[in-house]
Amino acid sequence: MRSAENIEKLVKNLDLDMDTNAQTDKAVLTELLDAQKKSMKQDSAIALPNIGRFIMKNPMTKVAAAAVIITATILGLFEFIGTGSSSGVVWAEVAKNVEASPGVIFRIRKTGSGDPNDQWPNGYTVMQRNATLSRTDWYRGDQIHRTVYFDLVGKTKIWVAHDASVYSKEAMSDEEIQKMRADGLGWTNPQGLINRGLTRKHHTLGQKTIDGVLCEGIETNDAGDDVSNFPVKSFSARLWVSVKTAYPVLLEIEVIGGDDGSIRHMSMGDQFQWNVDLSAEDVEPEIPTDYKPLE
Amino acid sequence: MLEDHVLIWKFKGGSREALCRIYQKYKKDLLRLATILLNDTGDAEDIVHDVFLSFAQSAEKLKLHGNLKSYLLTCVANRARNVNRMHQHRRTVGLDDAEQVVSDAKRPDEWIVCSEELKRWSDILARLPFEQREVVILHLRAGMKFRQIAKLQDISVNTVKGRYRYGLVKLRSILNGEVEK
Repeated sequence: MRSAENIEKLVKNLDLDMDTNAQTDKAVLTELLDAQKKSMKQDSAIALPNIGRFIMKNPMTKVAAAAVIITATILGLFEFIGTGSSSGVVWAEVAKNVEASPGVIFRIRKTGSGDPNDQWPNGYTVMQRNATLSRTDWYRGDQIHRTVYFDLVGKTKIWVAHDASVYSKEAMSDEEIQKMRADGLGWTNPQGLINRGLTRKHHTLGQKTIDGVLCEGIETNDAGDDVSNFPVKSFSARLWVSVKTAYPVLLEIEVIGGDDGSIRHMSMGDQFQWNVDLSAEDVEPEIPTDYKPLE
Repeated sequence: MLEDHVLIWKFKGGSREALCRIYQKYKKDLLRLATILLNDTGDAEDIVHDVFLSFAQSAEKLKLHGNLKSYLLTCVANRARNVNRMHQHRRTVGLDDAEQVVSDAKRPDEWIVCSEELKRWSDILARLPFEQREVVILHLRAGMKFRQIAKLQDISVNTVKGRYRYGLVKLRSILNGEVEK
């Protein structure tokens, strides 16, 4: 005789193996891809922007380090509140929307002169952020290359090198967490998009259509002192916001620096997905069983 | 390796690769659930096909805040319930007296290739009333909480728990009967 608990266990653990017919599978998938194609408007707000390759100059060793800072700085350069617009975007609403977003996923593409990690145009970084979680995935083509993850509540940091099948998983110290909250959380937290760099001077760029979406932009040329770790000759950061939704659509940053102006760097943030509920359970990287821990 | 949030993010950006990956990742879970809910591979294939099709068309309007797998399984469960209602109605009006079964007969365009175990359990579970079967399967096989099932079916949690309890009792009696045979 089986007990109720036994029945529960039995049904739960049943190995109900099945397979699918490869030919039908292929036909169904073809139909799905066709339906997807037809349903996507050509002028989708989230289609990839068509931006040409930035012309690079001489190799500079500092750029790799500079890139980190620029990535961290790409968001939050603008004083939204109080930026008037008579044409469409109410910037206070943008600020409110971004602050209210529980989490965000977006893409960063960048290039720099001499950056050994230059991946343009096929490489990109996908960032997932909320107030306490930060995950960054580096892609080359469609292959994931590296992953870095911080969980400030679970006090965990994970680094995965997919190309070498190694990883490191460590506990974060309270000091580290504090430092991240103080220094980095501004960038990992959607609220930080607004609160950092509030005092930059900026001007409006008017409206333009970006991949079919009517956007309104603002620009700052005020690099402040935290944009890069090299002398900046010229700096330009532009934020484009959808007039219809009042959410950011595109961020562009260009930096020219170095004593002779030979360092050039360009970063773009796009494909924003706002209002995403991110949980540690979902965001924490899965480490394949064959990956080795880094000693 | 690609987590679901990123897959959704890419899918919403129009990525074909993301749709392929989602399809490959979840098709079996969906087909399996549909099969044991309906005990009819033809109907199961139809609803999973429809779920994927409407998902593929939803990229621009999809607002998914939870778990992708749960979302897709919920879509399958909803459609399975509708199919079941339709069958009940047809039977009531005498249009369809045939038993639903996971057939051994092969169709030329079949999608699902069932294991013997899946066939056997589909038959066993089909002996439970649909309402009980659905709760038992969604809780034990799809990992849904009673609260989630209650929301899905728009009934109280207590009703869900009651159906679950009755379902287990009936299942136990079916299985014990099998053993005694």
